[in-house]
Amino acid sequence: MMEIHRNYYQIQIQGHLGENWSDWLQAFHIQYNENGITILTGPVIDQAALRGLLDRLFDLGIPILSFRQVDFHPEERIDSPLPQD
Amino acid sequence: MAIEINLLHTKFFLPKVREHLVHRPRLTSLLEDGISKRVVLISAPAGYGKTSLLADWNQEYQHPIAWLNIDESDNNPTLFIEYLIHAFNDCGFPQLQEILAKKKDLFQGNIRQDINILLNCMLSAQENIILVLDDYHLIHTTSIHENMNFMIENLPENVHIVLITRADPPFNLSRWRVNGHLTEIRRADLCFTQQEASDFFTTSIGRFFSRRNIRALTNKTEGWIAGMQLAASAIRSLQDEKSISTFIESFKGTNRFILDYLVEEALKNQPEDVREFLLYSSILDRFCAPLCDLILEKDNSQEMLERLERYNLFIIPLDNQRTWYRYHNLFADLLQSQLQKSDKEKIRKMHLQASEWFEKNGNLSEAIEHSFQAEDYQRTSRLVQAQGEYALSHGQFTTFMNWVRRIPAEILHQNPTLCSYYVICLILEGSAYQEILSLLDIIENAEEHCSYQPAAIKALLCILQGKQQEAAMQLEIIKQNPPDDEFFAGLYDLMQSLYTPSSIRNTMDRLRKTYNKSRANGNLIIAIVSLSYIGDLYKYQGKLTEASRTYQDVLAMSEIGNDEFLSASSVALLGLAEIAYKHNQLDEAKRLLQQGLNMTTRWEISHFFGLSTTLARVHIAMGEVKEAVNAMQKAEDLATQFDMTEVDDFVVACRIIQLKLLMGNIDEIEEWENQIDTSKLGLAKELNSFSVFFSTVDDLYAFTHAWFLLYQGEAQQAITILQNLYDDSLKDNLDDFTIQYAVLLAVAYDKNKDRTKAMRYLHKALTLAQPENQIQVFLEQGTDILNLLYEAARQDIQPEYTGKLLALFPQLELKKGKDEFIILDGAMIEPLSDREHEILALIAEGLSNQQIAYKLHLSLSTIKVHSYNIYRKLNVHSRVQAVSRAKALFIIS
Repeated sequence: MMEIHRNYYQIQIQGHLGENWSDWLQAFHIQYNENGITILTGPVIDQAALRGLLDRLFDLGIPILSFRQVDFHPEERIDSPLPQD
Repeated sequence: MAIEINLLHTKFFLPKVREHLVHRPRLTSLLEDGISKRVVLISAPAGYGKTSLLADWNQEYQHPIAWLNIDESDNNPTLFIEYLIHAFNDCGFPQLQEILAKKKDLFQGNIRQDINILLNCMLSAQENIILVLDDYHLIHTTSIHENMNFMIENLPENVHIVLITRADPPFNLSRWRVNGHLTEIRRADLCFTQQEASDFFTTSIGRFFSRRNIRALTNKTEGWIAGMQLAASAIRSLQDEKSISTFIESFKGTNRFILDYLVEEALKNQPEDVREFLLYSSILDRFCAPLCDLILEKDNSQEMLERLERYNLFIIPLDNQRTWYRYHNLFADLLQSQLQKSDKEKIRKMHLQASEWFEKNGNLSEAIEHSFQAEDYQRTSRLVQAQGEYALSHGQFTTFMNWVRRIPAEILHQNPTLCSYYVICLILEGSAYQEILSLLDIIENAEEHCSYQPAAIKALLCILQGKQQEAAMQLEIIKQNPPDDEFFAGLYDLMQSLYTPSSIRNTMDRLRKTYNKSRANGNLIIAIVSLSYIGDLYKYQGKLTEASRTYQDVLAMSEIGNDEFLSASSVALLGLAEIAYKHNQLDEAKRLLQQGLNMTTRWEISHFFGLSTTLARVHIAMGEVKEAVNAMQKAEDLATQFDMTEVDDFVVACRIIQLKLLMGNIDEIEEWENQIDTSKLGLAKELNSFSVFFSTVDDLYAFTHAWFLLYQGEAQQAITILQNLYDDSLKDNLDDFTIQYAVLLAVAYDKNKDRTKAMRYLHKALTLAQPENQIQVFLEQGTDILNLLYEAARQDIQPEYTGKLLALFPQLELKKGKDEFIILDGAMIEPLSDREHEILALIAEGLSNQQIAYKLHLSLSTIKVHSYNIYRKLNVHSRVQAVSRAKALFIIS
């Protein structure tokens, strides 16, 4: 078996995404900012998975503000402040 | 999730204007102006009214339109172009339709060629043509994008294309923008203006809204129509002004994702029964009243569906009778996310009920899907097994395998019949041998298993591995326990007809019986395979016309709607391609092989080797050496990976030696023993008396060896081998082989300075080849046979046919530009290029191809191409010959 390298991605979207999406976003950590921005942080196996995720957000009409690769596990840094781009 | 509702889809269906649709003249006139240019691009996310705009514009201006709704399955280039051409039918382009009807035979499923033909047809039609492609974002196949881009770049002036898409396609948009070919209608244009929003709320709610409230709604939804529609649904059920104001205030204040918020509000404000209906019916990809009645335990679903449609609640009828419906995708997603808050157990139960309903109503694939959702894997396993026999008989391997792979292993292993079906698929797919063996073990150790199942699997494996006696043993076991299952019964019949030693005539009869029986029982795959083998037998007998007809029948049978073919038909494509090659119709052969290769990327892996090695042969005949080397490499790589048998490696190795001989790369084939693994020789010997199919494996080895010996200068040895082959094939009436052996015997005797015998075999070859117009078998031997053919012409042997052959020799084209050639010692030599001179000199120094490549900073394959050209020009077959000939001709010193 090929080893799967997990990358972590952080995606900022416009609007607070409700708890009802947590099943779909299973492995993602969801964090809300006061200004109506949701920050999703979680593992993305590869570029195809990333594209699938972004496509889904796009199809739901959720505006994507930024996304970037991060090198930490979301669980470890839940409370750390987000660097602003 | 592949739900088979394709039949309900109307791909060429022009959307109708919905009730309550806001007429948007500012956009329809923009579109109307835009249509005078080449392309209109309507690009925006879901829910901005793109398709509705087209419907609105169509109602206002009423141009004839060719309309194509694109879906996932259109990512196959052949299918895409077929649909594209079909889209022009019945849509009011009388001239174009007439031209297309005349030219319809020209369309061959090659996307670039077909687009060229289509462009010409459209140019000849002197009428205005509009093509609308809806949901173009679903296309992600690069070759379709490239070809659409090409089509638009070359679009005649009377043709205009409207692309509706959620994402910009990868076309030369910026260039078209600059050149004024492009009109764009984007998100910002599609958003509702205050006025449109006001019209919308007034018509859809039937109540006048204050300007302030309209502005609030428009601002918050940013003019997004889907959002406004949801807002309207939420508001519609509010009775008094006060609650409307409260709603709008809270709406303004929310930070939440707007659709999520709105759908929640819309649901909250619906009566309990509507809310429940919307939420729970969203688990269904499509639904009808009886099904909804069942899962919701209601009896008024029909009424409810009509109510939802009246309220414009994102519900889409799928047929004219208003029986089946589905939700707008965006809305379905939102509803399902709301559903996650509710009782998981209840939803599971509903999936189970839906599954039972679909099963009862004969739609097993949807029953299976819901059963998966219900996580009832025992049930799923039973359903997939029930569908397995049908799926396998009809070649739906991919769907079937995807189901099986979603069933947990421990459940799968409890069901030996399902495991057996799965193993058959794994064998066809060319999966890892180890996985197949361990599953076979599980099947055999299962408490209740039918003994014919493991026996059939073992027989199939033995056949692939060339183990004749073991296969016969397994077939005997099946004979004692005849299968009660259509698919296995057909498989048994097929194996029995093929692998019982017998005369070609008996084999043919038995195959014919298997074919008729499986055809009558609806066992499509077995019917296809047995008929393909009948085609092969005709081909071996040299009856090429008969073989062609048979293969065409196979193709007709394997067409599964939408001009898609079952991958099992790739062997018929191979047969047709080989015949085209024999007839020297090289372009046609190439097209057929490409089509076959496209089919075998995942299935029928064993057909891949024949297809790619034959493709290499076609490339060689066309002088495309680089492509030939690539095709050979692919076959070799795949044969190595395919680990359940060595027979394929052996066949591919023989075929590759033949290809190298054809290219004149004789020094690449250093030692015969190194090329063909001697341990596999035993295998070939064992196959000798096996059946007509595997005796060809043995003969293939002998024939290749003889050919090799001939070019090593061992003509006498080659003759001995060929003579045996020739006598056998003559006895069995395998004319196609007899011709090949006779041609090579003629060359061999000629090299052995026995012109009389050479001419006798050539005579035989010509006599057999003439009726079915076999050409390549002579051309392949190049200059070696040229003199013999001249001689035949002189002796008046098949003079007409011989003359025709001679005219086809590419080597003779050299004569046309006589001045350009050096004539030395009476030999005519096409001058070598500077690069070829350089390489020849290095060859003379004794450098290997690899060393030359390194020295000249060129790739190995480039060096091979150059050496091939050198050999061709000097009319030699090896490095040593090339150097000595070049020296003799004073080309090098």
